[in-house]
Amino acid sequence: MPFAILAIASIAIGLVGFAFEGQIHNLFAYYLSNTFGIVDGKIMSSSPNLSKSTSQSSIVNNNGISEEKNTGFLNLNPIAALSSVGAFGIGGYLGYLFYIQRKVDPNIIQENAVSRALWKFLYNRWYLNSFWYWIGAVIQLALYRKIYKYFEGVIVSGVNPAFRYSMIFMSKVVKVSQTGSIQTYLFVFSAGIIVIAMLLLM
Amino acid sequence: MIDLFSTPSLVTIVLAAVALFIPIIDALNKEKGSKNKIYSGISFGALVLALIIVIVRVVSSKTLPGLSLASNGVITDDVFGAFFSIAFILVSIMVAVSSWSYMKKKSNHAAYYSLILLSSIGMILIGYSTDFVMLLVSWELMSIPTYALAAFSKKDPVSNEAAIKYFLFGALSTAIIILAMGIVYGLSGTTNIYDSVIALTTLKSSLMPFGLLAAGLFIAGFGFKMGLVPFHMWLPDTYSGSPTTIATLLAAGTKKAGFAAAIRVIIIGLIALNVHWSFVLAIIAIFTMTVGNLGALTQKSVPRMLAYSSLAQAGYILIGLAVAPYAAAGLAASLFHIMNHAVMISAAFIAATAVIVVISGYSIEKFKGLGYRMPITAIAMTIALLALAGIPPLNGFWSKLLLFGAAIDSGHQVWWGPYLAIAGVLNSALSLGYYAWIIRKMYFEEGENRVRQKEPKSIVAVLLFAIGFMVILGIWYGPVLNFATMASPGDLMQLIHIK
Repeated sequence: MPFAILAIASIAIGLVGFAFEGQIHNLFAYYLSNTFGIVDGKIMSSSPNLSKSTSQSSIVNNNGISEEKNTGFLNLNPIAALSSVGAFGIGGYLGYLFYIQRKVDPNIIQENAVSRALWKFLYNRWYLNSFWYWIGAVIQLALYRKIYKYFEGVIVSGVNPAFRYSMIFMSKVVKVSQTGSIQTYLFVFSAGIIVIAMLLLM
Repeated sequence: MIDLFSTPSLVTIVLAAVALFIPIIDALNKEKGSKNKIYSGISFGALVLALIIVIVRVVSSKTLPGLSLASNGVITDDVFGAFFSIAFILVSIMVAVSSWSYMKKKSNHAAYYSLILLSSIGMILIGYSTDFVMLLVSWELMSIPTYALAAFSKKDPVSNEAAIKYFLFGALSTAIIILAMGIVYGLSGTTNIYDSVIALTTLKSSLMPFGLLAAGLFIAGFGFKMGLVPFHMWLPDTYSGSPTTIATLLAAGTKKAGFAAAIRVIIIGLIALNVHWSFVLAIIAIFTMTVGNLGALTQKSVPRMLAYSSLAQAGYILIGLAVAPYAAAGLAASLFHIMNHAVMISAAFIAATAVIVVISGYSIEKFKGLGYRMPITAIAMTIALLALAGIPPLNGFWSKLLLFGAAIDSGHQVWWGPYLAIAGVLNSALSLGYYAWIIRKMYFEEGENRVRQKEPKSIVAVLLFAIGFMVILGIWYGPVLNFATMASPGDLMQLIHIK
């Protein structure tokens, strides 16, 4: 029963959806254009108000000239419509053969390696979810773990002490340069005058 | 002619009268016993009177606005001079009052306080000088008493060594300044700063190297007192070897007098010569900040650490001077930091003085557990160190923010401006390495005991004043910042009529 409700709702939305195909597209384009200024070559300037017009939308082309496009109420895309009806027909016929007439045993799919592989492929929805899970989650997480480990282990644990020790080292250099000897101080003083005079003369 | 009723004349009369009066009454007085308390009190009174005179003259608009260069005499009476005078007098008051406790068990009190007052007169007059000769006389009036004061602990060889080094380099820097003045006089035919600057603007190109040589010599001569790298070598030895009250006077007072002279002579003179001098000052600023902070990082003696810290702070002040021709707020920011630093470093040195007086040591290990043993000293030291680091909402934060902001602002005209700000911020972060170390010792490490020590009253009074200054100015910095803006010359080019 739940599957039947789902199937009926899907068919209904599929049929009604044709009528709104152009409108949804326009709404989205209008939203992008107004909110983010995304034009992508063409600005959809039709009103998002569905009650105003469901059949016309104006398109500003690259030359800035507004073009009126008559889309019609049922703007059917024949290829898409035939594909949908075809898929529905093939699926319905196979379902009828397997589960209502019971002429073919569904286990036959398991017996043949090719059909089993095809079934698995379709059952796992073209492995799209798995694919994106690997791309979006597994690989990224592994990468982040590596980066984090490297950042913590090498950069944070390495650079922090390196920074600390280099500061202490430089501090000791300053300390050592402070010899307490007047001769050294005089030398630095004189060198300073020469450097400043040269910098000014440059 | 000198106007006897001008601010510098009135202040000089008051302070000089007391400075000469103290040794005379000491010589005439046959009674035995210490007069430390009396002389400290008299000095305090004279300095407060001088402070009132300066403030009243500024408030009643009897002083010329901003930085006045044109003057018929050898001194002027402008807000720039008044700004520095207030800073110098505040520092001298803090030193005189804290010396009440520091000098208790020492001798020669009359000479000590008299020399502090004479040095104060020199510092004040530098801020008002408009003539090279007057500037030199004021410079020496400021310096000579401090040579004697640095060696005041006669039986302490470290103090004697500090004084000898200070004297030798002081004499050398004076010679260099005289040489620079001689060159400028030779080029311009006058000792008046304004007239010399005007003459330098029309200097023949064949004579330009002499003008630049004079500028370089001025930077070296005044840079000695300001503690700029590479003219700083004497500074850590002298500050750490001198009595800490005198180190306060040197770090917070005479150092700032160097800046007053530098602004009057170097900045204006270099603009007149129309050379790319700002970059030279920027390089010196970066080196001064970095060497100061690095030097302080591994010090074991607190006065020596503060000496290096004071070196780094001179670098921050120099940022404002370097960007002054390109950022309107540059000089005002420097002046604001000069006022703040005068109080911040005084508070830190005087807190160290309290530890020396009570615990008899200046090693950082002596500061362990100070939060329990000397709570007022510890809190004053903490606030002073945080203010020096530029931690909000203390006064040091605002002046550093203005300095770095001015450096960034100058980026519209000079590429290195923002880098100067970055160097300042990084150095401020580095400085926390040693400031926080002292705070950690005071509050998070156990000392020899937890017995509450009696803190010297006069030092506590000074520290409470300093805490109030640093905290209140951190929240309400407007009046002092406005005063600094009033004292700054604003458009330097307009000041010397160069279009």
